[in-house]
Amino acid sequence: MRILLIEDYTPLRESITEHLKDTGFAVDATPDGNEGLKFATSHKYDAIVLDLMVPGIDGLKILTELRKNGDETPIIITSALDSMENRVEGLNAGADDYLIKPFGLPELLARIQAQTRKVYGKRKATIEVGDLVVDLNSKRVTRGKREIVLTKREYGLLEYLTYRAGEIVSRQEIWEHVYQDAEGGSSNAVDVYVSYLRKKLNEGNEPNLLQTRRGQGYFLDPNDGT
Amino acid sequence: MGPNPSILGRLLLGTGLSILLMVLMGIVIVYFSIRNSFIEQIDVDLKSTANLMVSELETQGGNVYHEWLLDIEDDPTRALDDLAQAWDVRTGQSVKSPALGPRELPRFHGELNQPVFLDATIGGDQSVRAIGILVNAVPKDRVIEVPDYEIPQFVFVLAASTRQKDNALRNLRQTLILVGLGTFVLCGVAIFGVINQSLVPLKDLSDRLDAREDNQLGRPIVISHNFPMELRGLVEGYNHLLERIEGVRKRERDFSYHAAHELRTPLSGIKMVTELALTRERSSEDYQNRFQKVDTIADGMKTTVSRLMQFARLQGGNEVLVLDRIDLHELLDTAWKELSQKTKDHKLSAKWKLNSEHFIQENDAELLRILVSNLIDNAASYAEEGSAIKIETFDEKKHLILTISNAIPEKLEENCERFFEPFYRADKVRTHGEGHTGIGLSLCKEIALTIGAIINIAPTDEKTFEAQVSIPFSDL
Repeated sequence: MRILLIEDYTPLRESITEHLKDTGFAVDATPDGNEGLKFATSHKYDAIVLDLMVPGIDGLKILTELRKNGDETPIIITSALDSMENRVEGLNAGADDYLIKPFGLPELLARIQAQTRKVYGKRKATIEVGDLVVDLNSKRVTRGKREIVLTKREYGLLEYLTYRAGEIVSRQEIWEHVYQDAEGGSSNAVDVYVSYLRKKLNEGNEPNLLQTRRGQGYFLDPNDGT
Repeated sequence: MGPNPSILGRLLLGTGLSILLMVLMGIVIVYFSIRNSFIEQIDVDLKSTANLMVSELETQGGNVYHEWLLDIEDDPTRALDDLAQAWDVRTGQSVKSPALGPRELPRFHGELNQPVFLDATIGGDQSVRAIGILVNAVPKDRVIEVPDYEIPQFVFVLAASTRQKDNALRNLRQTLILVGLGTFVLCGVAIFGVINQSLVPLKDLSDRLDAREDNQLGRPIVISHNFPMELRGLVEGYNHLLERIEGVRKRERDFSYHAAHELRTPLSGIKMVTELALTRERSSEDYQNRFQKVDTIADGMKTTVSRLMQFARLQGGNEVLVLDRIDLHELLDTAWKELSQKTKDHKLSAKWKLNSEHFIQENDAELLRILVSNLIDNAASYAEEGSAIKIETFDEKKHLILTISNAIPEKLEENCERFFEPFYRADKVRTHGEGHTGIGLSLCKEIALTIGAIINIAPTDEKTFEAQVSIPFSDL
């Protein structure tokens, strides 16, 4: 999942970025409103965390601009302004959530997850694909009675594929939603991690959950691709 | 008028008294006009009758004949009604009409043949109007020459009963009083109704204001087209006041919001850095770095809080000035040097023009240092990159003028007075990460007030922003 964070207060920006990355998100962070709007309009994000008082274009204008252009990316406002008018103004401008500072990292994470689940039509915090169960809160993955231990990157990849279970997901999409821009490499890295993930998901004679469609991409299929 | 004067009471009292006065005046005028008319009529009658009767006071051969008395006695009606009496001036003897009986008419007169009138009472209970006249008896036998001094003079008094007139006037008085009272009451009721009706919009206005909820206090009062013009000025004045109060409330609200923001944001930072540190086991170096971050954030909060406290002290007038000899030019130089990192980062230079001869000031060193530092820091923070900051001092009318001006990237549309509001920022950014707390200029204004200086900030043209401080010369 790729998140855009627009926050000018450095300690907050750095902490949120670090935590989101630790929990498997790809994060683009900027302290500047103009740059934030540029990012938001040129990339596809799963959620945007937006501070209202940022230099350049302020948060509310960014929000209005994105909604005006038909961008439906979930936007979570973070602000120290806690009055009802401020919250109503933010939500009426098109924000999906409003988080008042100071807030805890787990709360922010839960709200981001709630918004991303909504985008992909998942209401529960656990997603089941056949006998594969992904717990989005604890980041625990099991297949049948077997627990699968994944690296941060592998989990990020599986989570994204799980959200889109049954759909073909292109390498480009995976690259955009799971990988950091600054990490370098290319979409071939996707193939490598898909291969690692497939090995961990399928053990022994278990049906292959992670299918490849040549020239199109990958998809999670509980029916062994048949 | 009591402690709570009532408009209705005042109007009623005022108009009531006016009406009462007018009614009384009307009654008096009408009554006395009619009364005088009655008296005039009686006087005319008395005068014509008296003229006739005195012509019947005759002398013949030195003897006096009271023929008028004979006429009365011959007429039974007159014998009962006519009240007349004549006195011989020489002897004092009198003759009187039978109707007088034992009663006497008052003896009075004016000049010879000049009648005078008198209201009198005869017999103790009968009111009369009388005419008195001094006359010479008319010589009937004009053949006999009688010297003037021998012609007897008489005082002739004729009276007419005024009972009928008095009754009529009594009735008139009663009628007039009743009519007057009726007019007064009717006018009073009508005026009460009109005044009460006129005060309805005022009461309506008061009810509308009373019914306002707390969140509607700042809304202007909307009036209908038929609202009385006399109250429009009051409503306009009230709306203007509401607007000003709303402005003050908004600034107070903004101050609270912004103060909360300035403290909540770093608090969030502390919370997040510590939360993140505790998510897993880390190396001691990692923990150290994170503690360092928390410490830096806490320092920033400390600065904000201490500036807020200083602002509050200055605003409350609790700051005591500690006077000392200060070299303002040296203070400016130090403040500029302290910003060396920022000026280097923003590629800023300084243009000095220090012409004041009164740069040695007796003033509060710390307050002046904060004032100068804030103004230079402000100029450096908002100056266009690569530009020069102009710092100038000169003397004018017993004041040292300090101006600090910087180039700005675009024209300022804001009301510059708002920059003095705590935490007010034109770009709405609350945390620049350059040590700005947002109350620097507010502090400057309070310091200026405390040391008796005047501070102004305004763009001098589309590309230049200037802060000017006018400090009175101190007596050294």
